Amino acid sequence: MANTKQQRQRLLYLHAQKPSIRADVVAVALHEPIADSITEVDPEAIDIPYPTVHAAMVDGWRVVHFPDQRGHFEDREIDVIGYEFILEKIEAFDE
Amino acid sequence: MSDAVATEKEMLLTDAELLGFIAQGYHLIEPELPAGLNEAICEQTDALESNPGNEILARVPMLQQVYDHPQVRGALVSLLGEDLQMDGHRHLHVNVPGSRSQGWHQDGTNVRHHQTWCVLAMYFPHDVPADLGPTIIMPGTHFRNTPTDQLATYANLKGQVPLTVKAGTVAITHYDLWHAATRNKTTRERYMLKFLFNRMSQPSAPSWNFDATTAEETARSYLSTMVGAKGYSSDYYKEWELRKEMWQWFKGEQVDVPPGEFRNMLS
Repeated sequence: MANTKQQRQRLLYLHAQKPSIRADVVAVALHEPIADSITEVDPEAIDIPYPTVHAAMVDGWRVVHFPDQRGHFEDREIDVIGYEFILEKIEAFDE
Repeated sequence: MSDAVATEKEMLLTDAELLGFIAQGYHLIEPELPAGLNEAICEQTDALESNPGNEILARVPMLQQVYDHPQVRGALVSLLGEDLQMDGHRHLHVNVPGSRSQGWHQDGTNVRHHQTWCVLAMYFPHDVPADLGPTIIMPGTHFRNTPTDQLATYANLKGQVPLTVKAGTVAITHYDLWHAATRNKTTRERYMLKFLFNRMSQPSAPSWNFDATTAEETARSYLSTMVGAKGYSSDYYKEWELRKEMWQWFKGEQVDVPPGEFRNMLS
């Protein structure tokens, strides 16, 4: 009996140092569309998988959210780290 | 000068260590604790029937020896002044097997500043390897004013530092430093005793081993050192200026760092 496959959305959050897709990535969170999958801070995590958002695009990820270049700007204070890009890959998963 | 006073002064932080705390937001101490103290604290903690919350010090009184140790006391005096006080809130954090990591967060609410009025002093009574659910911190983030909700989409950050430490280590962190507990992948519990210490008065002079002949030269390198994940973005230069503000404040000077000061900090 053939396996039943279902198209599902994988999500990859990459925070880049600047709003450019060529800027260095400084944070990563991968969300797999699998029940009970875990996305967490991991002290044993290997290095950031893609040096830039562009490198992730070359590997087949599609950007679905771009940071707003005109976002809040404060000349003195600092807040979050990096600019958030959200990428997706649609892949087949076993049901 | 008596030997006791001399010893206490020797245990104060150096300029480099104080500046390292300003840049990184944390300082690690491996005090030379009495033989068997860590093991005895673990045994008393094992024997607790429930988590006593703020009563942990009354239930495990040997913990006082850790925080009274000259190396720990010296670091706390350096950061908070001679009149510092232990806060009434303290907690035994038990990271149980099979736990999940916390999200990145800053403690408390978002009324931040660029001074040092409170620190966390986290004592680990046993070795903490990477699979035992170490606390993880992000250097330099104590300058960031970030509601915890805004940190919810981060997982792993470039430059994050897991506190994989030896038994007896005390990690002193700025109250605002981003941190999280991580998943315990073992079958053992991980203990961490978190105590808070408060500064009670504005600094009026250095409370560490300040060397007036070399301090500013030392400061030049530490205040403009890259930490964490930052590179040459505008945040990077703004952070230099915030560090300089904190350095002036620690010395008891009037804080006066005009925008654009980073240009004078370039080596």
